[in-house]
Formats: sequence, structure tokens, C-alpha cells
Amino acid sequence: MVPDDWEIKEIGFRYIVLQTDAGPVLEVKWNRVKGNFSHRRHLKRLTKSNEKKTVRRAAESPLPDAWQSALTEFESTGFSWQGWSQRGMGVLLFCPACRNATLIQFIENGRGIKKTVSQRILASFRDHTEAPVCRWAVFDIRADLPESLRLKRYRFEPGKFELAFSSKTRQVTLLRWAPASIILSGTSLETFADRAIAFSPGNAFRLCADPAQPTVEWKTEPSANWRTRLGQAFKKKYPFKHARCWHLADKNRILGIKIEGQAPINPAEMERLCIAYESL
Amino acid sequence: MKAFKEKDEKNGLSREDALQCRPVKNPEIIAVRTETDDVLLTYPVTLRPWLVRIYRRFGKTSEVTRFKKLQLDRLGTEVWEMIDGRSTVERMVERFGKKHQLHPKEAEVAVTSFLRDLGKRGLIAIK
Repeated sequence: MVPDDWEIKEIGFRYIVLQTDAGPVLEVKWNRVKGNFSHRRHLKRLTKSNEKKTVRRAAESPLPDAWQSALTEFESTGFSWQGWSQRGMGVLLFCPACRNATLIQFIENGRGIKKTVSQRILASFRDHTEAPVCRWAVFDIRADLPESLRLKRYRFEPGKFELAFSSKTRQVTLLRWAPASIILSGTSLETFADRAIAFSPGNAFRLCADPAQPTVEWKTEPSANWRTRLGQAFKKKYPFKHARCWHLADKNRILGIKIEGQAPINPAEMERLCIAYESL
Repeated sequence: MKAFKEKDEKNGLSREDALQCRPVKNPEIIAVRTETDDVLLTYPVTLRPWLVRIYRRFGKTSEVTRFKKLQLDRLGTEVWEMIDGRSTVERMVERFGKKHQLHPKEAEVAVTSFLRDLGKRGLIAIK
């Protein structure tokens, strides 16, 4: 849980950097560890890799009491570093339950970070969940997805966000377009969806009977012929597809979900995902 | 990956400073409203000196000044109309984001990349 004015500067599969007007302020990196985890060894490696670039001096340092109380669920080691123009303080965490190692560091760019802020952020940090779903929230979209789906690809461009997740048998893509008023001026939601969701054949999307908002949908129907089904399965990685787009007029956005699978897609799965996907 | 493919500050101008800049339209540009209510910009292009010399040698003095056209879409037209020499980039981003209910970062990247594009073509200057 970070302050409202901390924005995303960089985002990756296993890292995120947040910034304020003054510059980078928080960096979080994580990775799953196989075998034994040594805090000291990892800290040394980290210091060495950054030595020439930004860090002039880095050392293990005792964790402040407030941080210690916020991180009781983790094995933690504090550290601090002094750069050429910045300095920072952080913590290396290891969770024995999920075997994730995480580095969290607060970067001071002239302005200090209040202890209460860093404590609140650390207290809210979680690297795994007991629930069967995992919450993904970035910029103005939020979705609760099954834990089995892993982030595979992402794209954030003005006007279009795309997050693709995959498991062994499925690929789920979350889409979000804005501003809808401009996108849909002079065109219908069906036409837009046909154009924007590339895998559908032309004029495929049909309006659904959704009382809440204008919604269009398209899906591949499994063929009745077993030979065709077998052929499809060999030809394509994901022969079964289901896509839905809906227009949130009050938020001026269009949301979309694509599901691609090796087996026919259960409509209930699409329903569940659509309910759990929203624009903030 | 940088969020929204944000570019590094190569010229030393911080983000804060860049947002306080005021874009000004190039007075040589001819802006015309099209039937779709979008703006069509016609702007002079400076030819390379060696090309100008070749044109002159062959007596084609009228070819020395060339014009290019740029058709703006609805969003581009909106941002173009916000450029009045007084509004800062920050103010333009704010207005644009508010009007279209965009995430502030998304509005900032959309407006600043459009302004950068106009600047590269010499359609605006920054003061």
C-alpha cells in the first residue's frame, strides 16, 4: 500500500520501480529460490552488481524496530547504501512458505521518506496468498485471477493496456481501451471488437443480452465432427477461443477478456473472469 | 520495461521542468478545419542546403520551399487547440486527462508524446 502520489516508473516480470516528482523512490524485486537461501550471499551479490553504477558503499544494517514488527512473517536482513547522488535503505526478505526472495528498497532523492510510510508499505507487503485467486491491480484496472495463471506478456500504451496470462491449458488476456467516447465515435462496439481482437474472423462479435452495459461476445464452437476437432487440436496450440468486450460508459472505457484454450471453454469461466475484472 | 515506454531524460530537463514548459505554435503553419471537424496542418519544410543548391542550379526556385500536410485525429485536434502559448504542459495534461477520464500517467504520456512529435516536425516551440 503506497502513497497516492507514488507512480509506476518501471514494471517487469519480477520487479517494479515507483517514483515521485523527485525521482525513483521504491524498488521491489523478487524471485523464487531453489535450494538454500543465504541473505549474506545475496546481499553481497547485489552490492557487487550495482557497485559501479549507482552504489558507492553498501552494507548490512540492523532493521529499524518499526520495520521488524511489520515483517514478522519473513526472514529479513536490513541493508543501507550510499550512492553518488542518492542513498537508500532496504530489506532482503525470504518467505519460507512460498520460497520467494524479495528485495525492497527505499531510495532517498534529497527528500527523506517518513518512517511511518515505509512501515505501512512493509506491513502491507505480501508475496503469496492463501486464497485460490491472485489480485492483479495496475494503473486503473483490477482483476482477481486463478492462482495457476502466470503473467506472460504485458503492454501499457496510452489508450490500450494488455496483460496476458497463461497456465498449462489456458491463456487469458485482459484488455482495456480508453477513451471509449473517442474510440466508439462513428463505430459500433461489435465493429471495434472485430478490429481490436485480432483472432476473430470479420463480423464475428455479436451483442449479448447484458442488462448492465453494452457487451459483445465471440467464441469458437467445438465442431461436431471428431476428425475436425482432432485436426484443430494438432494445428493450433489453443484451438478454442472465447472473447468478450463491454463498454463502461460512466468510466469512458472498454474492457475485454480473451480466453484461449486447448479444450472447449466453459462459459461459466468467462462469467467468473468478467465479474472479477474491473476498471477503477 | 519502462511504464508507457517513458524516455530517459537525455537533455537534462527533469520531468517537473518539462511539465512547466509552455508550447507555442509555429506562426507559419496553416491550420484548416476539415469536414470531420479535425484539423489539417500545412507546414513548410526546410530542405537540405545541398538540395536547395541543386534546385537553384536548374532554375526551379519555386521548389525551394516545400509544404507538408499533417492530418490530426480528434484527440490530436483537442491537444492542438489547447496550445495557446500560455498553458503549461502540465495544465494541458490535466485538462486532457480530466475530459477523457484517463489515468494521469496515461494522459501525461499521450499528451507529451504528441507534443514531442509536433516539436520534431517544427510545428511548435517550447518556452
